[in-house]
Amino acid sequence: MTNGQGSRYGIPPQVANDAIDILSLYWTNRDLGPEIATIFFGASGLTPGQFVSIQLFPSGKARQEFIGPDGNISDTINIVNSGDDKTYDIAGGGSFTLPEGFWASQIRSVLAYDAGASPNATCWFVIQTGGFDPHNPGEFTVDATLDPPTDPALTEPVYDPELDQWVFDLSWTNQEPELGTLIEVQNSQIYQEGSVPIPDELYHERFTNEDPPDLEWIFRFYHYVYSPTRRISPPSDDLILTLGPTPPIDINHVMSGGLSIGGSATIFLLTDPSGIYKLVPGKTHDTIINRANEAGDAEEFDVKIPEPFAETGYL
Amino acid sequence: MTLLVPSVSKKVYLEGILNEVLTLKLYSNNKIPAVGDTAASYTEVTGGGYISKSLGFEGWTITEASPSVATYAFQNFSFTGVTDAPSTIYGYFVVNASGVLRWAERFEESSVPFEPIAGSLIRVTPRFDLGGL
Repeated sequence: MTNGQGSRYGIPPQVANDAIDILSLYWTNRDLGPEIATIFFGASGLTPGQFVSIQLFPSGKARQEFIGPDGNISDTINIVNSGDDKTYDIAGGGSFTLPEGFWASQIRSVLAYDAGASPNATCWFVIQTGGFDPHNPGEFTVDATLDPPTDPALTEPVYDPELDQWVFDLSWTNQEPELGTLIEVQNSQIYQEGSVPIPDELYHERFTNEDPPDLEWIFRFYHYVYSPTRRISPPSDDLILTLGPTPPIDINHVMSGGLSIGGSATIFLLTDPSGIYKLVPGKTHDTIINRANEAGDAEEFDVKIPEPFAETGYL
Repeated sequence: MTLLVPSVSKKVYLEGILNEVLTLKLYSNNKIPAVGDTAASYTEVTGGGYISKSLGFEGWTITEASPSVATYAFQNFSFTGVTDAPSTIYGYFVVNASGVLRWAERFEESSVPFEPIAGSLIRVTPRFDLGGL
Protein backbone atom coordinates (compact mmCIF):
# COMPACT_ATOMS: atom_id res chain seq x y z
CA MET A 1 0.00 0.00 0.00
CA THR A 2 1.17 3.47 -0.66
CA ASN A 3 -0.19 6.86 -0.21
CA GLY A 4 0.87 10.38 -0.58
CA GLN A 5 -0.05 13.97 -1.08
CA GLY A 6 1.20 16.40 -3.61
CA SER A 7 4.41 15.76 -5.46
CA ARG A 8 6.72 15.24 -2.56
CA TYR A 9 5.34 12.41 -0.59
CA GLY A 10 4.94 8.71 -1.06
CA ILE A 11 6.13 5.51 0.49
CA PRO A 12 6.78 2.18 -1.17
CA PRO A 13 3.74 -0.03 -1.40
CA GLN A 14 3.82 -3.26 0.48
CA VAL A 15 2.65 -6.65 -0.59
CA ALA A 16 2.82 -9.51 1.83
CA ASN A 17 5.41 -7.59 3.76
CA ASP A 18 7.72 -7.20 0.76
CA ALA A 19 8.53 -3.67 -0.23
CA ILE A 20 8.04 -2.52 -3.80
CA ASP A 21 10.11 0.34 -5.03
CA ILE A 22 8.55 3.49 -6.27
CA LEU A 23 10.76 4.66 -9.07
CA SER A 24 9.27 8.08 -9.23
CA LEU A 25 6.21 10.04 -8.41
CA TYR A 26 5.05 12.97 -10.47
CA TRP A 27 2.28 15.45 -10.23
CA THR A 28 1.42 17.81 -13.04
CA ASN A 29 1.62 21.54 -13.00
CA ARG A 30 -1.73 22.74 -11.72
CA ASP A 31 -1.82 25.46 -14.35
CA LEU A 32 -2.03 22.91 -17.10
CA GLY A 33 -5.40 21.65 -16.12
CA PRO A 34 -6.73 18.86 -14.05
CA GLU A 35 -4.54 17.32 -11.44
CA ILE A 36 -2.60 14.27 -12.52
CA ALA A 37 -0.67 11.81 -10.44
CA THR A 38 1.76 9.48 -12.15
CA ILE A 39 3.38 6.77 -10.12
CA PHE A 40 6.02 4.48 -11.53
CA PHE A 41 6.69 1.31 -9.67
CA GLY A 42 9.56 -1.06 -9.83
CA ALA A 43 8.69 -4.57 -10.85
CA SER A 44 9.78 -6.48 -7.82
CA GLY A 45 7.05 -8.75 -6.62
CA LEU A 46 4.22 -6.76 -8.13
CA THR A 47 1.70 -8.69 -10.15
CA PRO A 48 -1.53 -7.43 -11.61
CA GLY A 49 -3.50 -9.41 -9.16
CA GLN A 50 -1.85 -7.66 -6.31
CA PHE A 51 -2.62 -4.28 -7.70
CA VAL A 52 -6.26 -4.26 -6.89
CA SER A 53 -7.53 -0.82 -6.15
CA ILE A 54 -6.90 2.84 -6.31
CA GLN A 55 -8.63 5.23 -4.04
CA LEU A 56 -8.66 8.96 -4.63
CA PHE A 57 -9.42 11.70 -2.22
CA PRO A 58 -10.01 14.69 -4.47
CA SER A 59 -10.25 17.93 -2.63
CA GLY A 60 -13.67 19.46 -2.48
CA LYS A 61 -15.31 16.09 -2.20
CA ALA A 62 -16.17 14.92 1.23
CA ARG A 63 -16.42 11.25 0.51
CA GLN A 64 -13.86 8.69 -0.41
CA GLU A 65 -14.16 7.33 -3.89
CA PHE A 66 -13.05 4.25 -5.69
CA ILE A 67 -12.93 4.14 -9.44
CA GLY A 68 -14.54 0.99 -10.71
CA PRO A 69 -13.64 -0.76 -13.95
CA ASP A 70 -17.12 0.01 -15.20
CA GLY A 71 -16.33 3.68 -14.96
CA ASN A 72 -18.53 4.23 -11.98
CA ILE A 73 -17.72 5.03 -8.43
CA SER A 74 -17.73 1.84 -6.46
CA ASP A 75 -16.37 0.26 -3.35
CA THR A 76 -13.29 -1.15 -4.97
CA ILE A 77 -11.58 -1.67 -8.29
CA ASN A 78 -10.17 -4.90 -9.64
CA ILE A 79 -7.67 -4.67 -12.46
CA VAL A 80 -7.03 -7.75 -14.53
CA ASN A 81 -4.06 -8.45 -16.76
CA SER A 82 -5.50 -7.84 -20.19
CA GLY A 83 -2.37 -6.34 -21.66
CA ASP A 84 -4.37 -3.57 -23.25
CA ASP A 85 -4.87 0.03 -22.42
CA LYS A 86 -7.58 0.54 -19.94
CA THR A 87 -9.36 3.72 -19.20
CA TYR A 88 -11.57 4.21 -16.21
CA ASP A 89 -13.69 7.27 -15.91
CA ILE A 90 -13.62 9.27 -12.78
CA ALA A 91 -16.61 11.23 -11.67
CA GLY A 92 -16.48 14.60 -13.33
CA GLY A 93 -15.10 13.40 -16.63
CA GLY A 94 -11.55 12.45 -15.77
CA SER A 95 -9.91 9.20 -16.70
CA PHE A 96 -7.62 6.60 -15.29
CA THR A 97 -5.30 5.09 -17.86
CA LEU A 98 -2.98 2.13 -17.89
CA PRO A 99 -0.60 2.36 -20.83
CA GLU A 100 -0.39 -0.37 -23.41
CA GLY A 101 1.84 -3.18 -22.37
CA PHE A 102 1.71 -2.00 -18.82
CA TRP A 103 1.42 -5.37 -17.27
CA ALA A 104 4.05 -6.95 -19.44
CA SER A 105 6.58 -4.27 -18.80
CA GLN A 106 9.06 -4.02 -16.02
CA ILE A 107 7.67 -0.65 -15.10
CA ARG A 108 4.43 -0.27 -13.31
CA SER A 109 2.85 3.05 -13.95
CA VAL A 110 -0.43 4.54 -13.02
CA LEU A 111 -1.89 7.74 -14.24
CA ALA A 112 -4.77 9.13 -12.30
CA TYR A 113 -6.39 12.49 -12.22
CA ASP A 114 -9.59 14.11 -11.22
CA ALA A 115 -10.98 16.55 -13.75
CA GLY A 116 -13.41 17.83 -11.19
CA ALA A 117 -10.72 19.20 -8.96
CA SER A 118 -9.69 22.82 -9.19
CA PRO A 119 -6.26 23.53 -10.70
CA ASN A 120 -4.80 24.27 -7.30
CA ALA A 121 -6.45 21.39 -5.56
CA THR A 122 -4.60 18.66 -3.78
CA CYS A 123 -5.51 15.10 -4.52
CA TRP A 124 -4.81 12.46 -1.96
CA PHE A 125 -4.38 9.02 -3.30
CA VAL A 126 -4.17 5.56 -1.82
CA ILE A 127 -3.11 2.55 -3.81
CA GLN A 128 -4.11 -0.76 -2.35
CA THR A 129 -1.81 -3.54 -3.42
CA GLY A 130 -2.52 -6.28 -0.97
CA GLY A 131 -5.39 -8.47 -0.06
CA PHE A 132 -6.74 -10.31 -3.08
CA ASP A 133 -5.36 -11.70 -6.28
CA PRO A 134 -8.02 -12.36 -8.95
CA HIS A 135 -5.67 -14.86 -10.59
CA ASN A 136 -5.18 -16.66 -7.35
CA PRO A 137 -8.43 -16.78 -5.41
CA GLY A 138 -6.66 -17.50 -2.18
CA GLU A 139 -6.15 -14.57 0.08
CA PHE A 140 -2.78 -13.13 0.83
CA THR A 141 -1.31 -13.73 4.18
CA VAL A 142 -0.84 -10.42 5.86
CA ASP A 143 0.32 -9.49 9.23
CA ALA A 144 -2.92 -8.72 10.97
CA THR A 145 -1.34 -7.90 14.27
CA LEU A 146 -2.69 -4.66 15.51
CA ASP A 147 -0.16 -2.47 17.16
CA PRO A 148 -1.81 -0.37 19.79
CA PRO A 149 -1.93 3.32 19.04
CA THR A 150 -0.01 5.61 21.31
CA ASP A 151 -0.84 8.98 22.77
CA PRO A 152 -4.54 8.93 21.94
CA ALA A 153 -6.38 12.11 22.76
CA LEU A 154 -9.68 13.81 22.10
CA THR A 155 -10.15 17.47 21.39
CA GLU A 156 -12.78 19.70 22.86
CA PRO A 157 -16.05 19.36 20.94
CA VAL A 158 -16.99 22.40 18.92
CA TYR A 159 -20.36 23.13 17.39
CA ASP A 160 -20.17 23.67 13.63
CA PRO A 161 -23.23 25.68 12.53
CA GLU A 162 -22.71 24.82 8.88
CA LEU A 163 -22.72 21.11 9.54
CA ASP A 164 -25.23 21.52 12.35
CA GLN A 165 -23.06 19.02 14.15
CA TRP A 166 -20.73 18.88 17.08
CA VAL A 167 -17.23 18.10 15.91
CA PHE A 168 -14.27 16.66 17.76
CA ASP A 169 -11.10 14.89 16.79
CA LEU A 170 -9.41 11.74 17.93
CA SER A 171 -5.67 11.72 17.41
CA TRP A 172 -3.10 9.04 17.97
CA THR A 173 0.31 8.01 16.82
CA ASN A 174 0.72 4.85 14.85
CA GLN A 175 3.57 2.56 15.78
CA GLU A 176 3.84 0.06 12.99
CA PRO A 177 2.87 0.12 9.33
CA GLU A 178 0.28 -2.67 9.60
CA LEU A 179 1.21 -3.83 6.15
CA GLY A 180 -1.44 -4.17 3.54
CA THR A 181 -4.26 -3.09 5.73
CA LEU A 182 -6.18 -0.14 6.90
CA ILE A 183 -7.07 0.82 10.42
CA GLU A 184 -10.66 1.23 11.35
CA VAL A 185 -11.75 3.19 14.37
CA GLN A 186 -15.17 2.88 15.83
CA ASN A 187 -17.05 3.53 19.00
CA SER A 188 -20.55 2.85 20.15
CA GLN A 189 -22.05 5.72 18.22
CA ILE A 190 -19.72 6.65 15.42
CA TYR A 191 -18.05 4.51 12.81
CA GLN A 192 -14.95 5.63 11.00
CA GLU A 193 -12.45 3.90 8.82
CA GLY A 194 -9.74 4.48 6.36
CA SER A 195 -6.67 5.61 8.22
CA VAL A 196 -3.69 4.39 6.27
CA PRO A 197 -1.12 3.18 8.78
CA ILE A 198 2.28 4.76 8.55
CA PRO A 199 4.84 4.33 11.30
CA ASP A 200 5.25 7.20 13.71
CA GLU A 201 2.60 9.19 11.93
CA LEU A 202 0.19 11.36 13.87
CA TYR A 203 -3.34 10.57 12.85
CA HIS A 204 -6.59 12.39 13.21
CA GLU A 205 -10.07 11.06 12.81
CA ARG A 206 -12.84 13.61 12.82
CA PHE A 207 -16.07 12.67 14.48
CA THR A 208 -19.33 14.50 14.22
CA ASN A 209 -22.35 14.17 16.40
CA GLU A 210 -25.79 15.69 16.13
CA ASP A 211 -25.98 16.35 19.84
CA PRO A 212 -23.32 17.56 22.22
CA PRO A 213 -21.21 14.47 22.67
CA ASP A 214 -21.06 12.43 25.80
CA LEU A 215 -18.15 12.99 28.10
CA GLU A 216 -16.75 9.52 27.79
CA TRP A 217 -16.08 7.62 24.61
CA ILE A 218 -14.96 4.08 24.00
CA PHE A 219 -12.89 3.45 20.91
CA ARG A 220 -11.78 0.25 19.30
CA PHE A 221 -9.20 -0.06 16.60
CA TYR A 222 -9.57 -2.74 13.99
CA HIS A 223 -7.13 -3.97 11.47
CA TYR A 224 -8.57 -5.13 8.20
CA VAL A 225 -7.58 -6.07 4.71
CA TYR A 226 -9.26 -5.57 1.42
CA SER A 227 -10.52 -8.93 0.38
CA PRO A 228 -13.71 -10.54 -0.86
CA THR A 229 -14.70 -11.10 2.72
CA ARG A 230 -13.10 -7.92 3.99
CA ARG A 231 -11.64 -9.79 6.83
CA ILE A 232 -11.33 -7.83 10.00
CA SER A 233 -8.96 -8.54 12.80
CA PRO A 234 -10.07 -8.90 16.38
CA PRO A 235 -10.55 -5.49 17.89
CA SER A 236 -8.08 -3.82 20.12
CA ASP A 237 -8.79 -3.42 23.77
CA ASP A 238 -11.31 -0.74 24.55
CA LEU A 239 -9.77 2.66 24.60
CA ILE A 240 -11.69 4.89 26.97
CA LEU A 241 -11.14 8.57 26.47
CA THR A 242 -12.71 11.62 28.02
CA LEU A 243 -13.50 14.69 26.03
CA GLY A 244 -12.18 18.05 26.93
CA PRO A 245 -14.46 20.73 28.36
CA THR A 246 -18.06 20.03 27.50
CA PRO A 247 -20.64 22.54 26.40
CA PRO A 248 -22.52 24.01 29.33
CA ILE A 249 -25.79 22.39 30.23
CA ASP A 250 -28.29 25.07 31.01
CA ILE A 251 -31.05 22.79 32.23
CA ASN A 252 -30.26 19.25 33.27
CA HIS A 253 -33.55 17.71 34.16
CA VAL A 254 -34.34 14.17 35.18
CA MET A 255 -37.98 13.33 34.83
CA SER A 256 -39.68 12.92 38.15
CA GLY A 257 -41.40 9.82 36.84
CA GLY A 258 -43.35 7.82 39.32
CA LEU A 259 -46.71 6.17 39.29
CA SER A 260 -48.35 4.49 42.25
CA ILE A 261 -50.72 1.62 41.83
CA GLY A 262 -53.36 0.56 44.26
CA GLY A 263 -53.84 1.90 47.76
CA SER A 264 -55.86 0.27 50.48
CA ALA A 265 -59.38 -1.15 50.23
CA THR A 266 -60.63 -1.08 53.81
CA ILE A 267 -62.96 -3.86 54.81
CA PHE A 268 -64.82 -3.63 58.09
CA LEU A 269 -65.78 -6.80 59.78
CA LEU A 270 -68.35 -6.28 62.47
CA THR A 271 -67.47 -8.62 65.28
CA ASP A 272 -70.48 -8.09 67.47
CA PRO A 273 -72.98 -5.88 65.80
CA SER A 274 -76.36 -4.98 67.15
CA GLY A 275 -78.82 -2.46 65.93
CA ILE A 276 -80.75 0.17 67.83
CA TYR A 277 -83.43 1.39 65.56
CA LYS A 278 -84.89 4.68 66.51
CA LEU A 279 -87.20 6.10 63.91
CA VAL A 280 -86.68 9.81 63.56
CA PRO A 281 -88.92 11.76 61.18
CA GLY A 282 -86.92 12.92 58.14
CA LYS A 283 -83.83 10.85 58.94
CA THR A 284 -82.88 8.53 56.09
CA HIS A 285 -80.38 6.38 57.90
CA ASP A 286 -80.07 4.54 61.12
CA THR A 287 -77.20 3.68 63.39
CA ILE A 288 -75.67 0.36 64.24
CA ILE A 289 -73.48 0.09 67.25
CA ASN A 290 -70.69 -2.42 67.03
CA ARG A 291 -70.26 -3.21 70.65
CA ALA A 292 -66.83 -4.73 70.33
CA ASN A 293 -64.56 -4.19 67.37
CA GLU A 294 -61.17 -5.81 66.94
CA ALA A 295 -59.68 -3.36 69.38
CA GLY A 296 -62.39 -4.02 71.91
CA ASP A 297 -64.00 -0.61 71.48
CA ALA A 298 -67.55 0.19 70.56
CA GLU A 299 -68.12 1.80 67.16
CA GLU A 300 -71.14 3.30 65.51
CA PHE A 301 -71.98 2.93 61.82
CA ASP A 302 -74.72 4.65 59.92
CA VAL A 303 -76.65 2.31 57.66
CA LYS A 304 -79.30 3.03 55.13
CA ILE A 305 -82.91 2.43 55.96
CA PRO A 306 -84.31 0.50 53.00
CA GLU A 307 -87.48 2.56 52.73
CA PRO A 308 -87.46 5.34 55.28
CA PHE A 309 -90.74 6.80 54.17
CA ALA A 310 -92.78 3.65 54.21
CA GLU A 311 -95.99 4.12 56.04
CA THR A 312 -96.78 2.08 59.11
CA GLY A 313 -99.91 1.75 61.03
CA TYR A 314 -98.37 2.48 64.37
CA LEU A 315 -97.23 6.09 64.20
CA MET B 1 -54.05 -5.34 54.30
CA THR B 2 -52.56 -3.23 51.48
CA LEU B 3 -52.70 -4.27 47.87
CA LEU B 4 -49.31 -5.57 46.79
CA VAL B 5 -48.03 -5.62 43.24
CA PRO B 6 -44.93 -7.80 42.85
CA SER B 7 -41.90 -6.44 41.05
CA VAL B 8 -42.36 -8.78 38.13
CA SER B 9 -45.78 -7.32 37.57
CA LYS B 10 -44.58 -3.75 37.88
CA LYS B 11 -42.16 -4.42 35.06
CA VAL B 12 -45.02 -5.69 32.92
CA TYR B 13 -47.06 -2.61 33.73
CA LEU B 14 -44.18 -0.34 32.73
CA GLU B 15 -43.78 -2.21 29.47
CA GLY B 16 -47.44 -1.71 28.80
CA ILE B 17 -47.28 2.01 29.52
CA LEU B 18 -44.18 2.69 27.47
CA ASN B 19 -44.74 0.30 24.57
CA GLU B 20 -45.61 2.92 22.02
CA VAL B 21 -43.78 5.57 20.08
CA LEU B 22 -43.55 8.60 22.31
CA THR B 23 -42.30 12.04 21.44
CA LEU B 24 -40.61 14.30 23.93
CA LYS B 25 -41.30 17.97 23.32
CA LEU B 26 -40.53 21.22 25.03
CA TYR B 27 -43.23 23.80 25.62
CA SER B 28 -43.00 27.55 25.54
CA ASN B 29 -46.15 28.71 27.29
CA ASN B 30 -46.22 29.45 30.99
CA LYS B 31 -48.16 26.35 31.91
CA ILE B 32 -48.35 24.42 35.11
CA PRO B 33 -49.42 20.87 34.25
CA ALA B 34 -52.89 20.03 35.47
CA VAL B 35 -55.10 16.97 35.53
CA GLY B 36 -57.43 18.23 32.81
CA ASP B 37 -54.67 19.02 30.32
CA THR B 38 -54.51 17.82 26.76
CA ALA B 39 -51.71 18.16 24.26
CA ALA B 40 -53.34 21.38 23.11
CA SER B 41 -52.65 22.83 26.52
CA TYR B 42 -48.98 23.03 25.62
CA THR B 43 -47.35 25.16 22.96
CA GLU B 44 -44.43 23.36 21.43
CA VAL B 45 -41.19 25.28 21.01
CA THR B 46 -40.24 26.15 17.45
CA GLY B 47 -37.15 27.65 15.90
CA GLY B 48 -33.69 28.11 17.27
CA GLY B 49 -32.61 24.67 16.15
CA TYR B 50 -35.19 22.96 18.32
CA ILE B 51 -36.02 19.38 17.32
CA SER B 52 -38.37 17.14 19.27
CA LYS B 53 -37.08 13.75 20.37
CA SER B 54 -38.59 10.37 19.61
CA LEU B 55 -38.61 7.86 22.44
CA GLY B 56 -38.91 4.39 20.98
CA PHE B 57 -39.86 1.50 23.19
CA GLU B 58 -36.63 -0.28 22.37
CA GLY B 59 -34.70 2.53 24.00
CA TRP B 60 -36.18 2.04 27.45
CA THR B 61 -34.28 0.03 30.01
CA ILE B 62 -36.76 -1.42 32.45
CA THR B 63 -35.46 -2.79 35.70
CA GLU B 64 -37.49 -5.32 37.62
CA ALA B 65 -37.21 -4.18 41.21
CA SER B 66 -39.12 -2.35 43.86
CA PRO B 67 -39.75 0.19 42.59
CA SER B 68 -39.43 -0.97 39.00
CA VAL B 69 -37.83 1.78 36.98
CA ALA B 70 -37.72 2.54 33.28
CA THR B 71 -34.88 4.74 32.13
CA TYR B 72 -33.90 6.16 28.78
CA ALA B 73 -30.73 7.76 27.50
CA PHE B 74 -30.70 11.46 28.13
CA GLN B 75 -32.01 13.64 25.37
CA ASN B 76 -30.16 16.80 24.48
CA PHE B 77 -31.89 19.81 23.03
CA SER B 78 -29.13 21.98 21.62
CA PHE B 79 -30.00 25.39 20.30
CA THR B 80 -28.49 27.39 17.52
CA GLY B 81 -30.17 30.63 18.49
CA VAL B 82 -33.19 32.25 20.01
CA THR B 83 -36.40 30.27 19.60
CA ASP B 84 -39.53 31.70 18.06
CA ALA B 85 -41.80 33.93 20.15
CA PRO B 86 -42.31 33.90 23.04
CA SER B 87 -38.71 32.62 23.05
CA THR B 88 -39.21 30.90 26.36
CA ILE B 89 -39.17 27.32 27.61
CA TYR B 90 -41.00 26.19 30.71
CA GLY B 91 -40.97 22.42 30.61
CA TYR B 92 -41.55 19.31 28.57
CA PHE B 93 -44.49 17.19 27.57
CA VAL B 94 -44.75 13.74 26.05
CA VAL B 95 -47.29 12.67 23.45
CA ASN B 96 -47.90 9.38 21.72
CA ALA B 97 -48.11 8.73 17.99
CA SER B 98 -51.75 9.86 17.99
CA GLY B 99 -50.85 13.14 19.61
CA VAL B 100 -52.45 12.23 22.92
CA LEU B 101 -50.77 13.80 25.93
CA ARG B 102 -49.08 11.18 28.08
CA TRP B 103 -47.42 13.26 30.74
CA ALA B 104 -45.88 16.66 31.26
CA GLU B 105 -43.60 18.31 33.71
CA ARG B 106 -42.54 21.85 34.33
CA PHE B 107 -38.88 22.49 34.88
CA GLU B 108 -37.73 23.68 38.25
CA GLU B 109 -38.99 27.16 39.00
CA SER B 110 -35.44 28.40 39.38
CA SER B 111 -34.85 27.53 35.69
CA VAL B 112 -37.91 29.03 34.09
CA PRO B 113 -38.61 30.90 31.99
CA PHE B 114 -35.55 29.71 30.11
CA GLU B 115 -34.64 31.74 27.07
CA PRO B 116 -32.15 29.81 24.94
CA ILE B 117 -29.44 31.34 22.81
CA ALA B 118 -26.93 29.80 20.44
CA GLY B 119 -25.08 27.06 22.27
CA SER B 120 -27.72 26.59 24.94
CA LEU B 121 -28.37 23.05 25.99
CA ILE B 122 -31.32 21.45 27.73
CA ARG B 123 -30.84 17.87 28.75
CA VAL B 124 -33.83 15.79 29.76
CA THR B 125 -33.37 12.29 31.09
CA PRO B 126 -36.56 10.25 30.68
CA ARG B 127 -37.44 8.19 33.69
CA PHE B 128 -40.59 6.41 34.76
CA ASP B 129 -41.11 4.26 37.80
CA LEU B 130 -43.78 2.28 39.50
CA GLY B 131 -43.35 2.77 43.17
CA GLY B 132 -45.35 3.48 46.27
CA LEU B 133 -46.04 -0.16 47.01
